Formats: sequence, C-alpha cells, structure tokens
Amino acid sequence: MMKQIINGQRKRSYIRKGKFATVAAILGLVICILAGCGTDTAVSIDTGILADDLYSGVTWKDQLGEIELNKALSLYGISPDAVASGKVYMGTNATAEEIAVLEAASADQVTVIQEGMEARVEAQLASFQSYNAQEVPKLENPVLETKGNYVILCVCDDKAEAEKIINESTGK
Amino acid sequence: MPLDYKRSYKTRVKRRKIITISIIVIVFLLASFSIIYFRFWSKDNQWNPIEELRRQIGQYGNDQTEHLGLALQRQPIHLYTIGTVRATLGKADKEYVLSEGRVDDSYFDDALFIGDSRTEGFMLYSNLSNLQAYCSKGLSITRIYSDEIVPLEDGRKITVMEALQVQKYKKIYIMFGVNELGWPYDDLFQEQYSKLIKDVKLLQPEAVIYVENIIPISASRSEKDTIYNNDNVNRFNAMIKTVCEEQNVVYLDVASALADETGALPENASVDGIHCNVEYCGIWMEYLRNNTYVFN
Repeated sequence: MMKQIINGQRKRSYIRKGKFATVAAILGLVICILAGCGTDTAVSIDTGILADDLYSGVTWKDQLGEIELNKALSLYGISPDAVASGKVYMGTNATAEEIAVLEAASADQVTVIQEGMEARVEAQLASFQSYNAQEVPKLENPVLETKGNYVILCVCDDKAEAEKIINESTGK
Repeated sequence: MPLDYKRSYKTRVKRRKIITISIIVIVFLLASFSIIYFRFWSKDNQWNPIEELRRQIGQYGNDQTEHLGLALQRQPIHLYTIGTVRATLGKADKEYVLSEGRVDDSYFDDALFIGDSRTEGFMLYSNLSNLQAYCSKGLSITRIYSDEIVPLEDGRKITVMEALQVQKYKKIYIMFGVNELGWPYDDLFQEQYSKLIKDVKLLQPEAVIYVENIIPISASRSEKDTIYNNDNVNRFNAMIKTVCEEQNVVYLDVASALADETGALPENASVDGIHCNVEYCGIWMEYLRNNTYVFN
C-alpha cells in the first residue's frame, strides 16, 4: 500500500516535471527567436567610410577637421581598449558639430561607448548653453544610433540626411 | 523509504548547504577586510597619498594649504599626478634667450597649454598626441580662478590654479584675451593679467612662461562686430605686451603668423572669423615650434 502511494506520488511528480520541461523549452525557444529579431549582430560597417560619407553628405555650418582617434576617445572618456576602430570629425568651436563612428571591441563594450558619447553630448550642451546658445538645439537632439557593435554620433542640423546615410550604410 | 526520513534528509542536506555557503561568505569578507586594512589603512604603509600630501604641505604651515586633490593621469589633454607641495616663491627674474631652430614634437612633452575655446580647438586639431591642456570655452583671466574644469580621477573637478599646484611643467603657454575684448577698463585687464602671470610663476617656478597674444579677427567679422574687432584686438595686444615686459615672461606674437597683409585673420581661416580651422591651427603650431626660448 505504501509502495503504491509512493509510486503514485513519484508518477505525478514525473508528469509535473515533464510538463514543466516542455513549457520551459517552448519559452526558451520563443525568447531566442525574439532576441534574434532584436539584434544587429550581423551589421558590418567600415567606420572610416561611414564617417567620410557623413562628412561629405551632410550640410555643415562649420569646417570639420579629423581628430586623432585616441585624442577623441579621451574626450569621450572611453578607453582605447574598448574600441576596435573609429573615425571622428569635430568642428572649430564655432559650432558644436561633430561626427563620431566607433566600432566596439566586443558586444559588451557597446554600452561603454554609448555612455561615453552621451556624456560628451551632455558636456557640450552644458558648455554651449552659455557660450553659444544657437548650438543648443542640435545638441538636445543629436543623431546617436547603435547598429550592432557600432555607435554613431552625428551633431548637425541636417539630421534627415545623416540618418539616411547611416541607414544606407547598414542596408536598412 | 519512509516519508518522514526523506523529509528530514532533505532538511539536513539543505541545512548543510546553508552552513557551507555562510562559511565561504564569511571567509571572503574577512579576507577582503584584511587586504583593505593592510593595503590602505596600515600606518606602516606609506602609499596613502592623502597622508603623504598632508605631511609634505604641513612642512610649509597650514596657512598655505588649500585644496588637496588626488590626481592621476587620465587622458592626454588633461594631465594629473599625485600631488606635491605648493610651489615656493620663484627665483629672481630670469633672462630668456631665443633658441635656434625648430623644435620637434618631444619639446612639448613637458609643456602645458592654458586657454579658452581657441586653445581648445588648437589642441584638437594639432596632430600631436602628447599635448596637455587646461582649456575651456569661455575661460578668461578671471574665470580661471573659479571655473572647475580640470577633472580628477574621483570625479571631482578643480580649477586650473589648483591643478597647477599638483603638477609641474617646464613650459607653459597661456592664451587669453578674446573673451575679454568687451572689458571696458584697460587697467583692470592689465592688473588681472599681471596677477595671473604672477600666480603662474609662483606655482611653476621652473617653467618658461609663454604668453601668446590674441589672434586677430577676420575682416568681415571685425567690420560688423562692436566687440570682436581688430581695433580691440590691437589695443589689448599692446596691453598684453606691456604686461609681459613688466612680468618678464615671453611674449609670443602668434597674431603676426596668422594675419594677412591687412592685419586681419584671412577669411578662409575660420567660419566665424574667430576660431581657426585645421590649416591655420597648423600654421599656429609651426610658429610655436620656431619660437622657443630658454633661460639664460
């Protein structure tokens, strides 16, 4: 009798475990599919070419000059180890116009780079508010996009053209 | 197996796991505390930088202590090191002699540039990775004492004058004036610039101090601007030259290197008539390379 009761409990336990395993497997599959839809890990961009395309394609008020990458990274507070490649253009300080296209060294460095760019925009905003308030609108609403392991910053008035060039570079 | 036995077995196993995990956590905390204590707090450990600073500054009396700041090299543009004592009064005025020839990049290894947005642009566009600067948009000969623009590793920011207490340089380039072109009182400008130079000499007694004059404005901007115009630039540059002669520091006529035949900044040098582009920052840099001085 005892054995039957125990076997019965075991059987119910196995059935519960089986149902649980099935549900967990289905959930895991759904999560994987959704996660796969959300990432651009297949994106591949030549950072130099995209930066040059933005430089030549967007309408600028300032004369932008290429900035040595490590110097730019120091302004962004980003360690050179976090960056695989990149190209940066900055204005003369007559305006806040800027282009930065950076490739993260790995997926987990993307957030580091994003935060560095955001901090740069915030610092420029604080600075230009008293220095040249005409630049504030472009700093309040810059083009800052992440495509896979690439982070792209473009501070300009001609946002539509900048976004178009970025989307064309990623094939979207 | 009876159910009661199974339950008590599971309870015992669970209890053993909790005890094991607790022991591991306690050992880890003890080890961490020991490392932190012996590394940072032990009196025998001389690495505590705050205590070292206090010990050194204490030799000069409490009235000379102001701000203590931990400084570590963080990035090429803003340079910090562990603090040292505040500079004592410098030696008697020295004589400067123009060096022959053009210096290479290494000359600027121990140089510091101090200035406003024009210096900031110059720093960005120069292709030297060893340039160090304390500069900021809107910085002036008065705001240099109050604007906290030099970031420390712990996230705080200090003023340029505070930062000059903790890092020594062999050459210091100073450029101010464009943000002061609207000042109504000439004597006030001269007094303030003189004070700035005196303070820098006090803090950096071993440095050759270069004062760069104000780069001119473009003709088109100068014609229509009541403040940023070349009449004001020329007047202020004359005052800067006087101050440099009185304070015995090097007056660098950067303006002459960049101006056209009319004395204005060429129209193709700048978008807004004030801030130089890459090409003219390069001309500026070349002028500095060819105009270096040493103490006689």
